[in-house]
Amino acid sequence: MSAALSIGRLLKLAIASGVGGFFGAASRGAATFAATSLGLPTWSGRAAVNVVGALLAGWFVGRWVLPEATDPLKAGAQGVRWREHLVITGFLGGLTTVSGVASDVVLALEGSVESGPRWVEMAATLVVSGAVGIAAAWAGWRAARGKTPTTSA
Amino acid sequence: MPPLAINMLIVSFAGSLGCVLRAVVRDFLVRARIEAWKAILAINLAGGAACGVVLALRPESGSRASLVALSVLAGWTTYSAFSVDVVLLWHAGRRAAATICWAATLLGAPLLALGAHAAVVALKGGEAP
Repeated sequence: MSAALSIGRLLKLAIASGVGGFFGAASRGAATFAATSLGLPTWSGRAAVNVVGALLAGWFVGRWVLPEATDPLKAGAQGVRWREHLVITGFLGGLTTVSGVASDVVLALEGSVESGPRWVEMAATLVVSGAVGIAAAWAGWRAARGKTPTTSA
Repeated sequence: MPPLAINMLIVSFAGSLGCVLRAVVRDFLVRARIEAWKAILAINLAGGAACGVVLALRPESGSRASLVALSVLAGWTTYSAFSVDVVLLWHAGRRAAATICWAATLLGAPLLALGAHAAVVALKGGEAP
């Protein structure tokens, strides 16, 4: 019985995060393509979706998870909820990426034969990821909390 | 089908696979009583290291194979969960944990990628960046 429940739970988790992740990854791909089409560097498209994803994640966590979780840092351990895993784990998780930041740093350091390492690009990648994205998550979370009458955090 | 459409489908399906793997592994780690932010940190660091390997193998594996691998890793890792974890840890008064999470992810993932990249390039007899 518990094994069946566990398999059903995992299936639910996989379907929700997989469907959300498909559209999140597609949106990231489209943003990266749009950036390069506009003549912007590839890293800028990835950085932009990371910042937008962090803002939205902060808002959704503040709106959906905080009002009900006794400890938001342990949220998700109790059960699978479709909307959270579809939107937060799947879509926003698929939209944003840390490996993309890592690869942007490696590629910037690799540089090109003509110009050598692109230090400014590497610094910009790290500053956007380290400061702007975190500020965006905080802003989204604050905005959601302002509209939530009861919070347990 | 145009190459752009094929690449978009690869990014979407491979990213979706990465998301499913992340969700299942995170769920497993959280059920094993590992704090969620530590689970996400481990996932992101593993993704950073794997990314360095894929980038180093890119000339041999071809652009399509590396696109698949990098897309899986992009879905596997998550910046949104990391950023929210930092905010929630900070707000909960766990400033040291928030700082560790922030620094370990932002410095650790690129450094692991660089280290893995350099190691693979060295094994191939080339020159690291």
